Amino acid sequence: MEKTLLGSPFLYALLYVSIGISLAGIIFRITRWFVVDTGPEAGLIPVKKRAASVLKGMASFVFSLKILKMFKVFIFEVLLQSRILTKDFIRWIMHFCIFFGFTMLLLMHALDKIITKNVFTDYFPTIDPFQFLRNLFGLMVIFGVGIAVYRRIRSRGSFLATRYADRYALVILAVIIVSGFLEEGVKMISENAFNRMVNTYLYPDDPEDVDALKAFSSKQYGTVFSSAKFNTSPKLLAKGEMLNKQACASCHAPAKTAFISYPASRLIKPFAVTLNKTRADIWLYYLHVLACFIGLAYLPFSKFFHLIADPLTIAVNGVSDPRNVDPSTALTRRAMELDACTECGTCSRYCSVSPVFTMLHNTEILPMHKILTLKRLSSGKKIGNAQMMTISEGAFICTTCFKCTEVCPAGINLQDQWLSSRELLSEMGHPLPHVWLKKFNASEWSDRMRENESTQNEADEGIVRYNNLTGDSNVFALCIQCQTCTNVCSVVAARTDPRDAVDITPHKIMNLLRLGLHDLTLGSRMVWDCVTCYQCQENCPQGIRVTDIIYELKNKAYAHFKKIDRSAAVKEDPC
Amino acid sequence: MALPKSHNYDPKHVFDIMVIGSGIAGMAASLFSINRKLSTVQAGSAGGTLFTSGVLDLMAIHPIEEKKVWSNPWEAIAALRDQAPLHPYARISDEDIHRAFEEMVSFLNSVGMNYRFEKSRNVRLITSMGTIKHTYCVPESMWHCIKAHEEKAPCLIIDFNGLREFSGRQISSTLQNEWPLLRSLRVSFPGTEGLNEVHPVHLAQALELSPVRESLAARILPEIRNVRYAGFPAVLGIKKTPAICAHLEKLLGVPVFEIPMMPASVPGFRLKEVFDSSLPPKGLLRLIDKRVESVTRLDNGNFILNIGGPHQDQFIQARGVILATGRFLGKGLMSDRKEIFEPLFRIPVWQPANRVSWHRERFLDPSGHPINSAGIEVDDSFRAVDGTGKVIYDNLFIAGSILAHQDWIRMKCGSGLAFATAYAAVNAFINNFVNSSGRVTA
Amino acid sequence: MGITLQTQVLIIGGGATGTALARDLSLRGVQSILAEKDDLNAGASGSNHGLLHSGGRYVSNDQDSARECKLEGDIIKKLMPQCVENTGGLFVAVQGDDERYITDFPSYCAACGVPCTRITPGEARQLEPNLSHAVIAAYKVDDASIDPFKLSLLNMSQAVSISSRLMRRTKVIGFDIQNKKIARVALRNVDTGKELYIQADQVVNCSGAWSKQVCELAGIEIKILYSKGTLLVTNDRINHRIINRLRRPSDADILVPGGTVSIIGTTSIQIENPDDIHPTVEETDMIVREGAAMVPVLERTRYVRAYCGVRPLFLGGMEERGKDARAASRGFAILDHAREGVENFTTVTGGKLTTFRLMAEKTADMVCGKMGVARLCRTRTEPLPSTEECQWTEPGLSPKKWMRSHNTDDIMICECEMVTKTAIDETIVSLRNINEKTSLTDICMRTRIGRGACQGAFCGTRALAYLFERGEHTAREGLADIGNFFQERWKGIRSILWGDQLIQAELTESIHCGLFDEELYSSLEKITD
Repeated sequence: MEKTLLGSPFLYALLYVSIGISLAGIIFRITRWFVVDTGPEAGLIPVKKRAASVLKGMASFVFSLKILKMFKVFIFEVLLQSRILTKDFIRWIMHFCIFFGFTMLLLMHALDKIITKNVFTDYFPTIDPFQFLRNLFGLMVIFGVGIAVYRRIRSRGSFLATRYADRYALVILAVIIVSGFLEEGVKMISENAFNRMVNTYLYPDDPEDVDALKAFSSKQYGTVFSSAKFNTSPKLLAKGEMLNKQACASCHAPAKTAFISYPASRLIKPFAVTLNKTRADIWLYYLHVLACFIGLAYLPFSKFFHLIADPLTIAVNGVSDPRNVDPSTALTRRAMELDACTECGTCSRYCSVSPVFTMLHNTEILPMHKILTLKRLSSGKKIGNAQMMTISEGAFICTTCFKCTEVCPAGINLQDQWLSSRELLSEMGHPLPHVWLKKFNASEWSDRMRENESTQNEADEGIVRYNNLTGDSNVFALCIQCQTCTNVCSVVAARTDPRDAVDITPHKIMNLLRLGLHDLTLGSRMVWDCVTCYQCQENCPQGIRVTDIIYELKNKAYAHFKKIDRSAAVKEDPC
Repeated sequence: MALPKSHNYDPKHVFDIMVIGSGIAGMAASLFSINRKLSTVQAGSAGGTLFTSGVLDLMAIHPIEEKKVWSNPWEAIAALRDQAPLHPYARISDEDIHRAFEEMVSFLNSVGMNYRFEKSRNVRLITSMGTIKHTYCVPESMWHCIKAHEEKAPCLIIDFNGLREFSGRQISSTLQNEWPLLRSLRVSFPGTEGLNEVHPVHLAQALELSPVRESLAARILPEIRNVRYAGFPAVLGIKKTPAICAHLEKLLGVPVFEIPMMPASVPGFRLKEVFDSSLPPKGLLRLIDKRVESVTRLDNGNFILNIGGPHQDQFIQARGVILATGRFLGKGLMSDRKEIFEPLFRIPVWQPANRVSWHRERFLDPSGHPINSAGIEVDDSFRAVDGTGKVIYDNLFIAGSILAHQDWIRMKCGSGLAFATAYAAVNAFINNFVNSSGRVTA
Repeated sequence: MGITLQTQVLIIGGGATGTALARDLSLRGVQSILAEKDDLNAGASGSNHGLLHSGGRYVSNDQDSARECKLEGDIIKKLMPQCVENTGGLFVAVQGDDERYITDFPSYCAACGVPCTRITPGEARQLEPNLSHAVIAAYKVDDASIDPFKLSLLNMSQAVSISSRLMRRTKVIGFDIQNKKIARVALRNVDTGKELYIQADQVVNCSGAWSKQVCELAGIEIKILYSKGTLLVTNDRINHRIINRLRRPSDADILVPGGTVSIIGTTSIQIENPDDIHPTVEETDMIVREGAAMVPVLERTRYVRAYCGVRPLFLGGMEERGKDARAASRGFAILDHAREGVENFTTVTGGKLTTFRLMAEKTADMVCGKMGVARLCRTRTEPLPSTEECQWTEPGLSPKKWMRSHNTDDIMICECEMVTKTAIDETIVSLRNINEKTSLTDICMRTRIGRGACQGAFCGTRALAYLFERGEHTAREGLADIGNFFQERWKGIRSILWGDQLIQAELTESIHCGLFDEELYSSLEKITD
């Protein structure tokens, strides 16, 4: 049975099935990259074109010097995960242990017949250093998984979201490794294993030999024998040791070098007899192998898929030039990026507007949650109006400051995701306030808000707390009409569209406030286009806090807008 | 007194001069001070110079109640000296006034803001009101306006749709009797078609681009028939006015000029730009958009000034202070129902007996409103004095329109007063506090 | 030797009463000419609180007036709503005010049928956050604020649309009395100096504070007490309701919100001559001091204007009350001068804005009686129609219209009150209809241009430029016009120039004198009267 790779044709069947599932899955997910809707252009560009342009891109890439750059990127960012290392050492340890440990086990142990044996002619799984290394790598993975579990328990309720996919992945990993160790441990104490060995490799001259070997083996490896009584005289042991040297040692390193399995075997020794009886060595072996198969089959549908999506993303974004992007490739890239996200939450932790989340408790403000939402959107899931409002709010609050993109370990161009998703939102009837604001002029907005009169009183909870500047006439009553604020205003200077021109200017805002026409300012382009450059405030001879006032108005306006159904507002579009 | 405990205060660092105020007087004081190698710091609101029309008066009318206009400013000043000995000019020699003007103007010219004047002559400048302003020194870009008016030459004034404060038709109509050949033309400023409102500074910024100038010229050219000059509102650029004028003259084939208009005035912005960009490189520490909140005086006489701003407090120690905070608009003087006061040093303000006598019954009364002569009284070295003529602080100097016994509005002496008194104040500081070896004495 | 015009009734004086009379008569089919020596509402009608009394103010000392106010107030609210802002009002007493008066107030009100409900000081401050914490008692009443300019403009324009004629800046200079009748009236245009005559069946003297002079022209003595009242306008609106001081009528005890501003007043100073009056520094200070007791913010707030008017208090038959102006009745009197031997001459005097319609009605009744016209008054039952050109006195209306219409051609001339050229255009048209040129002062009265914080420094300049563009002005007229305009504004701000408004004034002066040298042209000013 050792001759065969797996032992039973049944397992073979399973292997091929799982490989099949895995491949199919991978292909399925990769093809989706060319299909799903990840940007406003999506409708316009046929799948064929998307695929073609990607191929073209790849081709042109392969025959360019970028390939060298790609090499560097691969070593540092993919293999050594430099991006994580710089941000979060613990996570790096975790990732490195799991990634490196598992990869080595895969290559050295799982695929030993194919790889290791051909590299090391004298390879034998039970001799050192292989036995030792197997234990070491196994330990690494377990350690990594340990950290992962710990982080998820500790960071509960924070930016790190734990979903079923994460749990499954960790469980499968754990099962594979633990079952592996146990099986090794069980073998050590297994009488059956001993007998099999003896029958295969020992040619006894006299019947005493077997006893001698038994005596030695139970002393040396802790093998447990059902036939309780056999003498263990030093003489016999010495003989057993000699026989062991002749027959076994060549392919069996001392058990202690299996520094995990051996102690494990000590632990389970009390149950040895039962285990031996139930042939634990065999069913543990099955468990181990099956777990591996499941992992394999589950890969494309689980977090494991980032094994494929991440390196690709890192590589692509690592070498591609953000300045000239062909929209059709962009669509595909975004889809790939969505798959590359491991929901590690780094982006959310570094997000410059995440503090707003602590006030509004709208998770759609947090980049990582936004990505999850984008996944849902791109996969065409139906999302309710209320939900869409919160999504739109999240997008509105985002300043596209690029921070998240900078820190993303998977090298996802998050900023690009946000920008494109904004357009997507307006297509779906949930544009950002700036956009749908333009559907009506300030006066029409003030009417709308008066319709929502009931909500006026609450309207004062803005995004940011403000100290009612706009309500205190002393703040703006100082205005002497010199219009310096308007003259230094870059937003006004940039106006060329007459429709905007009949909108108000900074000094008109001060006057409207004094005239008690507060509500006419709220929907004005001026308030919403203000870039808070503070020129007006700096130059005001009367020291009026013009910019602060405008900013406060924007917040008040937003508080109103939240209460108006935007999709409705957008549909009945007069212009 | 207790020294401020603040990370923004370095007790060892003492500036020679702190200039308070960022109007033209403050700017002049800063310039003169750094030109004399004094370590200088200046604070004041960013908008300080924005309200200056950009034309520099020296002295034109005296006595104001007679509306007597002088064509030679120096004669006017001479007359002033013996009839109004308390006027700040009476404390400064013609030479110093002239040097002050020269130093300031040559600085402006050196940074590409060309000004022009004739030593002993006031000029008559057209304003957007259609009135004639009597002044002394004008931007090069306005010089042709004076010439054209003298010659009563055929001239076209261009104005723009949406520039509400400037009507070419108003100017030509108001002047029609004395200048029949003055015509006006209204066009849309390139890129503002259909806008119901345009603002001077934005037009000026746009004109910095030559394509804009070209398309503007193209709109005017058809009307430039048998005219010798083309006049514009004062919006011909901010940083490169001379070049812009030259370009327009090339495009139009006639000399062009600017007509001053009401605030927010572009020439004012030009001055602001120039001071903001050119003084710091010459060594001025400029605390933009910061007002001096409070002052304390050390036993050695040095002032410690608490500079407040939108963001944080800051403390500056200076050997001498030049107070050039202007009048009410500049917040150098403040008023309530009862009195006029100086908010920072709380030094006495010379003023009319009570509010009843602050203003006359007719707004345009040529005799001027008594409140305009209120202000800080000084000695010959421009140090603030109290009612008895006693110097209050030997190192507090006063410059500009905050000074008492002058009515710059009616006398047309604002800029000259600012330059001359700033000049006098800086020199007085040097005479009192800089020893022969050029060291500032404690 | 000027022309002679014929009419049934000559109305002298274009205040609230005169214009209402013109309307009343034309609705009865009686043709009239209204001669006004200055402009509509130039007198007391234009310089008062703009308060539609609930009557509460007079319940203690003038029950008749209180009752009239109640009745007339209801009629005006019903028939002329476009001129009324139904704010409601409060009467509040602060520490130190007369306890007895506070407790008696409800019974006074009840006696005059003036509704009032007591509320706690706390509730009062809820309604009016700016009220002093020293408030010890408060009552709610049905006061409202009214726009006197719109009122007179609308009354006049309906009258004109039917049969009446308005002659502005036309002053009566003499009566030609033959056999107990005024045969004709001599008038002079105060600008052109042109003289003309009017022959009218009846002459009605509605010249308010000037009715004494007018009577004198007919050789008739009437006893009028001139009481000057000064008021201050704040830069922004600081109260929602009218706030009255709960005490016997005295100085600076009413704060009236009018659109975007609040108006505090008034004083009551007895003067000899109704002409050429202006608010004084002393009055201003007193008003601020007194008002602040009720609404403390009045001590700090920014005032943009002060103005004053002269109340004509008729003393006929009530001399015994002595010469205390405040004690004299605010009731009105219609004097048929037939007694003095001029049969077709009537003077209506006294009264108050709230009862202007009633005064017109009663006068019309008498005049019609004399002329044998039997038709009944219709102003008691018929609503006052609105017209386009009279709407611009409404605060905050222009910006609303401007932003609604979103019309890119409509240039904003006045930034403080946000008035656009459309308002000016309509003013120009309405004045063309009576063959007159438009001046900045006319615009200021008919729109809100120049009434805001800048008091004309900026908007005056823009409006002037626009008048030139429209061809309304040529040559030096512009400078003369803006000179007059500033002088008109100046009268109103000179006494309140401190703090922020002084800064504003300094800016104005440094622009128009410092830069434009306008004072050198001031000889061009035509100072009216």
